[in-house]
Amino acid sequence: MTRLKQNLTGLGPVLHFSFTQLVRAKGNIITLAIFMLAALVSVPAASLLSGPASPPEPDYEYAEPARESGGLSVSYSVVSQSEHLGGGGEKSSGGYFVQLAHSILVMMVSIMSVSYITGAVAEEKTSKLIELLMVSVKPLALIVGKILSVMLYMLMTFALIALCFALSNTISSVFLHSSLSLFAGADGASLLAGVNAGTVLAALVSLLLGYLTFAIAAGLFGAACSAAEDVQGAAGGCTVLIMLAYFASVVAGAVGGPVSTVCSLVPVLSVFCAPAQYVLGELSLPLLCLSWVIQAACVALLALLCSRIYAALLIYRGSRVRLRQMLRMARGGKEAV
Amino acid sequence: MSLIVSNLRKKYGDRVVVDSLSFEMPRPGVYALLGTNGAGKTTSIRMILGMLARDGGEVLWNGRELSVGECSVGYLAEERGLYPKYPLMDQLVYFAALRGVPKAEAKRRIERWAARLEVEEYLYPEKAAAQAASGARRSRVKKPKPKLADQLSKGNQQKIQLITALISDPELIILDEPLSGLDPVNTDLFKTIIREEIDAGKYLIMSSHQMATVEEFCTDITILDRSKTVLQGHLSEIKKSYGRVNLYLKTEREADEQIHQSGARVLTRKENEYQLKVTGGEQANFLLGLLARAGVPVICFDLREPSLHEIFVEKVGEVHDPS
Repeated sequence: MTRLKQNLTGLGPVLHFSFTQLVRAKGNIITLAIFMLAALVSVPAASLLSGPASPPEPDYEYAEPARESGGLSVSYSVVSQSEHLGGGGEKSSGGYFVQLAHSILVMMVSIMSVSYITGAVAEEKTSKLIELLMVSVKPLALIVGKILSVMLYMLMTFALIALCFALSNTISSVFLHSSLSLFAGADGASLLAGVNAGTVLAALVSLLLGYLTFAIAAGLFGAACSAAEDVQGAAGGCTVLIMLAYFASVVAGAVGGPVSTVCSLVPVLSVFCAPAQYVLGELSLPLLCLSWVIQAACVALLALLCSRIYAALLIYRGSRVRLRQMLRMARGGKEAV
Repeated sequence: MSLIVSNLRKKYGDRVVVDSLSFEMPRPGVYALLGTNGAGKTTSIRMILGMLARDGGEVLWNGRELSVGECSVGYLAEERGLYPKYPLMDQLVYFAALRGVPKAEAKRRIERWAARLEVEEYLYPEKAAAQAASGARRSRVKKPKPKLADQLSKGNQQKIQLITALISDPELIILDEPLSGLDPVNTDLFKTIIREEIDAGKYLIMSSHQMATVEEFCTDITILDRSKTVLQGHLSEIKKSYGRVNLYLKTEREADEQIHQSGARVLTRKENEYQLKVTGGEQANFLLGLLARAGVPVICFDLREPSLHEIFVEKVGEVHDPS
């Protein structure tokens, strides 16, 4: 414990500095402003473009009595549509939408984080700053500070976007008599109504575990770079992994059944699949917890690898260290490069 | 206070890069860590600072393992760097915070160092802009943007880096090639600051290839070559052990014959100025006697110990060419 405390000395200033620079970066300010503006205008714009607000025409049977959701009458459920489609066990289009939306969110968060962390770690190496930093702060505090600052920044960004979206939705429902649930369609509205604290928590835990997995990997790949031209390749490796996991999750979400269950348990894939499948009722709570345990073990293994070789990687100079070399370093000592 | 480095060892695979380096600084002063390229100086410094894992040995500060948490260390690395796209002031406050200096105190110290190193216009561009526009109407003065590291010249970046090394008022200062790349004016400025730190009772470890600079500041040295210590000790004692073997001779007319007779070796000659190598005071006196007897007017006769440069070249040369 004392050792961990020593290794995290200086975490506060690293976190503060990294977060401040993220917030002040011109590119980030512009991106955030665009996203916020898009969220603000999204519901009114959709409302104006689609004409007067009215419930969609039902092309399927009524399955349950109408219930109030978001101030509007929503008369259909996912189950009713599935039944209408003749596939009691098949996935609904709403289910697919949830899987897709969650996967896109995870992919966006992961790619943005990986890009920033790889760049920031590599920048400190290529700008020859690392020795100056390592006099005062341990490598673990440096990487943890970056990971936490990006996490905070992402949280802040999504909170602001969600706030703008909620504001947009409220304004639309008051002045234009239309809201998000109307545009989400029958399935979407039902699913939105089904969103509660539990499902949000499930999504957040999975997102956090996924974020930690990709962030630690990004830190390692960033530290493996010695020159600015190596950064793109390093970030590219992580991005490819994220994209593959994204596509696999989308396919698994469409196929459903045992495939989606298996994908919900495989590390990295589970980040994309598990919470969506849980929300859709395809994955039980014990299996969701099992997927978290597996993913947490994956994060712990990555953190262990990171703690063994990160310091050595930071002061290493030469061609970019490959994954195989990293594993050799971890197995055979820090200087195996 | 004291710094004891004992038996530091480092291997990369089968290659030994630092082999049993030991030295001691029982009192404040400047210790020089010298060596050829790749001799193991930077690796040794990294091990002293705890950046690099040691295969053996220990570094004690006041009898306890050196920890940057307990001993304030200032380090000017050989490979200097700053965040290229972040404001300089933010960076300095950050580095101060990493060394435990509160923000308000850090700002006071930065202001003092900025004035001392003549970099105020980069750290306080608004002041410079206000001064420049003192005649113009206030409303017309546009607030200048904070300066970024990549807008500074190399010398000015080096000044900012020196501030980062000294901002915590460190007890132990490690300077790796502190004067490389500086113009003569800034070299003098840096030298003055180094002298002030010495006078303030700081412990300095300096690594440099500029032997004249090392001679100017250092009291004790270690010369490394290919991971091994080839010479170590108090600089003046080392020099004394070599004896006075360098003779600078300037005469009014040629003295080749007398020099030849004395057996002294001519290193360089420019008109009637000679750099000679003698075996010691006896041979030099014999030459002086010859010159006097021959009636050669002597303008300058200066018998000196060898320079650190010569000692370094001789020692490292010995190792490379034992024959």
